[in-house]
Amino acid sequence: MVEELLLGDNPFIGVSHLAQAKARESVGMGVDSFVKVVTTAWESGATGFTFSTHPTNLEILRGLAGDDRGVLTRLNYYPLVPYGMGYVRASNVTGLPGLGKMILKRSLTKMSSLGWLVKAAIGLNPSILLAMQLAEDLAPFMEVLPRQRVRAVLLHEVLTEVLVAHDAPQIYETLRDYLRSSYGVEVGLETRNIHHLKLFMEKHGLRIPYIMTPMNPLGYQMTPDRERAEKAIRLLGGQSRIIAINILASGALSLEEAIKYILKFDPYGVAVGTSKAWRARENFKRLRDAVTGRS
Amino acid sequence: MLIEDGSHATMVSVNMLPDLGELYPEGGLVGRLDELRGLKVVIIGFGKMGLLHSTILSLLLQNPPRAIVDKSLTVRLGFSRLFGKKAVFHKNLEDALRDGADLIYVTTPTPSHYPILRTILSREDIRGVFVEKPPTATHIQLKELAGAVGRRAVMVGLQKRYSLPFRHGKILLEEGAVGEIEGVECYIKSGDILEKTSRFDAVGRGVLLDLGIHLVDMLSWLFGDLRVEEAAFKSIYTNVDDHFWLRLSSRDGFEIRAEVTWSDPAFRVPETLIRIRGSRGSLEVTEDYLKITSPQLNKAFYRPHYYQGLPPVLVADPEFTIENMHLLLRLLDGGEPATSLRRSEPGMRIVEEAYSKAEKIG
Repeated sequence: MVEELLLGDNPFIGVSHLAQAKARESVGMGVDSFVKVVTTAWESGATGFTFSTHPTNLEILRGLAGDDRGVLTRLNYYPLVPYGMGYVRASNVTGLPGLGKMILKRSLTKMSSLGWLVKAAIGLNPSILLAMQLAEDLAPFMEVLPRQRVRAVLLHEVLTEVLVAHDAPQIYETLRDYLRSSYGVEVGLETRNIHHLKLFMEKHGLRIPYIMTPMNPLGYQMTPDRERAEKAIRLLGGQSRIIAINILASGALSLEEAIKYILKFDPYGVAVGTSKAWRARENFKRLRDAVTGRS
Repeated sequence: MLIEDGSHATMVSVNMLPDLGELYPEGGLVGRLDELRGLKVVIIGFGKMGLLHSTILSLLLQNPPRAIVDKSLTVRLGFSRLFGKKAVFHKNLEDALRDGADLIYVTTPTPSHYPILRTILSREDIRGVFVEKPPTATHIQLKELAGAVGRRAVMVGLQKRYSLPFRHGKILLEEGAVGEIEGVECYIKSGDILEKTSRFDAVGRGVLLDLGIHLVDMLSWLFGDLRVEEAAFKSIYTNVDDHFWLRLSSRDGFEIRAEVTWSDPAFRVPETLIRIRGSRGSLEVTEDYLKITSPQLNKAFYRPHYYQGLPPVLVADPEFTIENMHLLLRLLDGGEPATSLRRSEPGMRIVEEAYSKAEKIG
């Protein structure tokens, strides 16, 4: 049964998998209107918010804190780290070695993580430094969010695909342990290569509590093809909580088409993004009705 | 299928796309990946692009690179500890080549492409080479290297040509869908450089060479022989060109106006747009969509129409996987890659001509 109906943040931070021109339009709408989208989504049946650690999302969450109905404390949260484009931009200016050195310097100033730093030094384990950087990215968000409402932190695909491709489960394990000890949260993965993730998990006997992945009847962003992605989703759904994203194939499908398809897989969560309050009202009401069997 | 397009909704039909075999011949690789098992891949330069190609290839071939070369101790130490013993990191190219290599990726900073490619192309045992764009810092260097390729598959990472909307646009132009071309407006823009950096001082050239090469390469591919009529640039955050304007003329008599920048904060990710006015209609194409307008026709195709269950691996944009698949197919079947060194020459010639004619403004 679908337990979570999540509002996605893509339109708030200028991401569109349909056309960048659309994303640029929505970014200009401003934080106040995005706060309105979140509150309207909640009024209409959304149970949570999934977002990247982008500064705009922090502003939105701070804006929600001012809502006198307590919306901030009623939603569940699934933050994604790292905000990939932020690091890509930084590496454009400094290069990747420069970025690595910056992360190292920042980590060394975190005396609160002394125990982990010692572990990193003894084991020559840069995964710990990466984990410390992700924790720092999360820190301002964790200050705003009610801690018990943060259901899981998800590693963004820029990290997931690298660790799956390079067969490095130890990176995931280190990040998971560090973030768990820092914030007491579960750590999941977001991927657009679900079949490869399945092979990786099977090979290493890994259990990932939450997996976020595109699911739509067009097979858009489902690899290596729709059939094998579906098979992986069904199989992993038995052990992980699957959160479906890009269910509308970036706007190529109607909500009805998307719902009909998604319900066949019975995912744990479904995420949809919009930059317009009226659409949030319409979409979440229809989604809520569909998952509760009212339509 | 319904796509929202501004204030109105347009009905578009997937079956209006060209045949998939024509649009995406690289799909032929999917059933043949087993033929590439054990391929020895070496990556030189493990920055952002090295990591991207390493990730795509590892997922496609189910086999991480045999060796990775990087001058930086931070990179070698950091990634070798991160990845464990799956890939061997070297400081020098010679050490990496000692165990043999079938396919080499050159993803180092631009000034080093020329000497590295010279070394690689002097070896007969290497079957394929990929070099990130721009292939070299100058057109002369590229011409010299193109002569040394022989029968090997040597390809430049001009991945926009592997983007399906652009390929669709080329097919439509060849079919005369907009009639005789009357004029072209285009840009490639990103927000990659929004703070001061001296990173590009070594190469002495900026956005036109680094990012604009994609656009001018595609203009040559779409419209054939072009000449630079006017060029101007502005420095904003670097000591080189951050914003470039070009006016080009074609042999067929139409004019192309192009704008190139990496310092536009509105562009979260790079976008390439080409708008073609013809005697029977117009065509607008980006990495994301293709729109064709004429008195009889008004159609739009978006990413979800093109990329349904393809490509088989998705890391960053789909065209990155498709360009890798293209090279792997050439490795199997022979033949010159679509963006070989030789075929990259017209774009590099335009870049060279533009720098020689450019006036600094602002």
